Amino acid sequence: MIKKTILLLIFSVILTSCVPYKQLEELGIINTRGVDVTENNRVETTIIAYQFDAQNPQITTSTTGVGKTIKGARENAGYNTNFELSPGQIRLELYGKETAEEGILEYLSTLVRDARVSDTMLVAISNITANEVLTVGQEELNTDVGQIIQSLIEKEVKEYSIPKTSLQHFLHIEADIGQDPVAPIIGLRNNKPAIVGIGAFSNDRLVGELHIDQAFLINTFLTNVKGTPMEISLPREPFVDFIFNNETNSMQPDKLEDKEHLTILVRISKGKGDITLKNIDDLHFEANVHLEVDLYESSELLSVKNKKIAAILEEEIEKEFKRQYDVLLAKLQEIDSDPLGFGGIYRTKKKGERLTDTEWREKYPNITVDFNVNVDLMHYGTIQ
Amino acid sequence: MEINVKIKPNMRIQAFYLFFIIVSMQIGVGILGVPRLVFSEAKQDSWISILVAAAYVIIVLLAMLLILKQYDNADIHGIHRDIFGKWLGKIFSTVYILYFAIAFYSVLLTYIEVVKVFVFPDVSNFVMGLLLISLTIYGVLGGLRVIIGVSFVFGVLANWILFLLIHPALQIDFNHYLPLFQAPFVDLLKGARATSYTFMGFEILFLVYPFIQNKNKVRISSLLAVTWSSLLVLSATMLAIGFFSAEQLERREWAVLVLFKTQSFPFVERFDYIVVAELMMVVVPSLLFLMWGLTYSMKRVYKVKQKLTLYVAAIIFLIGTFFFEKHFETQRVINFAEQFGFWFIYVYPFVLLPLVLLKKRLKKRKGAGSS
Repeated sequence: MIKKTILLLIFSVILTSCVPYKQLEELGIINTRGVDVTENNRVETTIIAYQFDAQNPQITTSTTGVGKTIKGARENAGYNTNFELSPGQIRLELYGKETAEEGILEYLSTLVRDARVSDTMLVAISNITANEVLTVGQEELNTDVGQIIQSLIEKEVKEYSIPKTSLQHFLHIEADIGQDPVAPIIGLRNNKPAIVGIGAFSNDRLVGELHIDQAFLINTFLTNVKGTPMEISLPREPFVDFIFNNETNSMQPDKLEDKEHLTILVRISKGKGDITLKNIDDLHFEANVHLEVDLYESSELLSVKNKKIAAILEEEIEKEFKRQYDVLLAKLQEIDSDPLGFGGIYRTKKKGERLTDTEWREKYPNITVDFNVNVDLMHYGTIQ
Repeated sequence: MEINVKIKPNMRIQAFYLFFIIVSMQIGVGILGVPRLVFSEAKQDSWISILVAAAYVIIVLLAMLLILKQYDNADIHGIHRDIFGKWLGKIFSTVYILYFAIAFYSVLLTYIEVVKVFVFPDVSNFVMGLLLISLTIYGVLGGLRVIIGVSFVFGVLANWILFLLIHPALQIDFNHYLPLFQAPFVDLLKGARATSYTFMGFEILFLVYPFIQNKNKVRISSLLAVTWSSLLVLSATMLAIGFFSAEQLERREWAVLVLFKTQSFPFVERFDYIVVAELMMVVVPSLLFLMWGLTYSMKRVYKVKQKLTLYVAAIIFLIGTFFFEKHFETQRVINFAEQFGFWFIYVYPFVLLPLVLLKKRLKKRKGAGSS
């Protein structure tokens, strides 16, 4: 028994040398990578990596490299650093605007090909070059800019303000016939990185920039949203009778004020969109959106005393959302991007031959959609 | 060579273990890649293909049981001897031996490749081969009962990785299954054919049947085993189709392994590393049974000592890992094993069955005539 145990211990010690090892102190663990295309179709990568060097108080280091492929650029960047750059923990991949406009599938596929790269990493684009966002951000913030951008995105994804944007999600939607991905746009605000919008893709090419609020509209069709705060501007006119006038201390409408809009902040506690194909020949769709909202704030002293005012509020919010959806669809059709996935619905209903991408691209600008928004106002807080 | 095998009572096993024997033989490296193979033929109707394949496997299994029932306690080599005589019987049995060798080799190479692609790109084939083959030698030296013990323990222990698939299961896009019933019948059959490598392994019944004590439970145990493996293959394929879009799935080599890549916990970020390691628990029982089948058949057919075959085969396989390092070469070995196994496992029992029945009838008539 003792003999066997000793033998086992010896074996387990010896066997560890059979596989190649990597020492943490000798590694630069890439955390964030920016990709830009420069002249002559060369790829410039900006790498932010952790390094565990006892002599250096700074835990992250940034390097750039140029090459014809991403991995080539990484090797090139490796000449500037005394650490072995390792891609296993990349958490964020940032693409420059011009790069994204030319298509990013080739860069994404290298990430998939390498089985050691994580599929849960985030994909984002920048409205300038990735290099600028990362280097300027790094200088300004003095902390790890990659991590800050990741938390920015993850926080918004958690709030359902923007759709999930992991590598797996992006690739899955990109490859689906009849649906296009979106990705958050990172820009600099006061030299600090911030989410400035959402990029709409047509296949793997960036074709347009949408407002950040429109990301939520898209997200209602991609997942069940919960707990998203949102600011909505409603026409002031229907509410005039219900706005409390502090100066006259009455419900008398204040004629002197001629504001046009009443802005409210709601928290969308539940939201779900659903697309059905009504007429396959005319490509007429119906999109039903159901939202449950809580009223959190209004720009004026709005008094929600009875059911009537609640009904008016619901109706106005519905109208506003419908308008926003119509604007969104017009814009998406113009830039030929289909993140809501109308094509996917059409594909499942189409009999016979499989839908091809080019076929859907031809049909997409001509589809018509009726957006029906149904809003339920659930809670108004503690005051009426 | 005796037609019927005499097994000492202390060497016999309960039919209950047949479940683990067949499942651990069927579920090996094949399930990792099967979604892509089926999907590239039958598209979103792959589930029909798999059901067709499973039904066919069950029919083959019933035919095998019917063949075995005609004898008191025979295995495939005894039956060959009885039906085809000394020389022809030996040739047919040799084909079985070759099949075990090729299947062993294909499993070994595939697992080594998975480890190289997912975890250690620099590890040499020889080292991985040495580790796996030492394990195999150690297990096979223990005899059939030890191997069955391994398949039972590993079969129970490896199942927890199924829970890791809950996360990808929640992200399924149900639109990927629509529209239904689009694949033509021929494609469905092609899809069913593509599962043949994955479903292989139940032929071990032809060898272990004499070892089983309570023969009346063999049918239910083996049927349950085949059903369970089919369910695993079916759910893996459905999950992969729902999770990946068509274009992705057609290009993913080991789709089932990639499913684990999206799972992440605060304490382990990358679960695919653990799954690849855990996969050894799934692969080792297959390797053990295939090696045992090889050595035992050599003993039955050529009266070669099991230990001698074991060591010689181990050395040959170890040298063999040097060659076939490239992906497409490995694929070629798998394809060869698939082609080879297809005729021998899925078609051959139907050839054997009428011969066995005919022989029995002739014998009976002869017996009746002489009395």
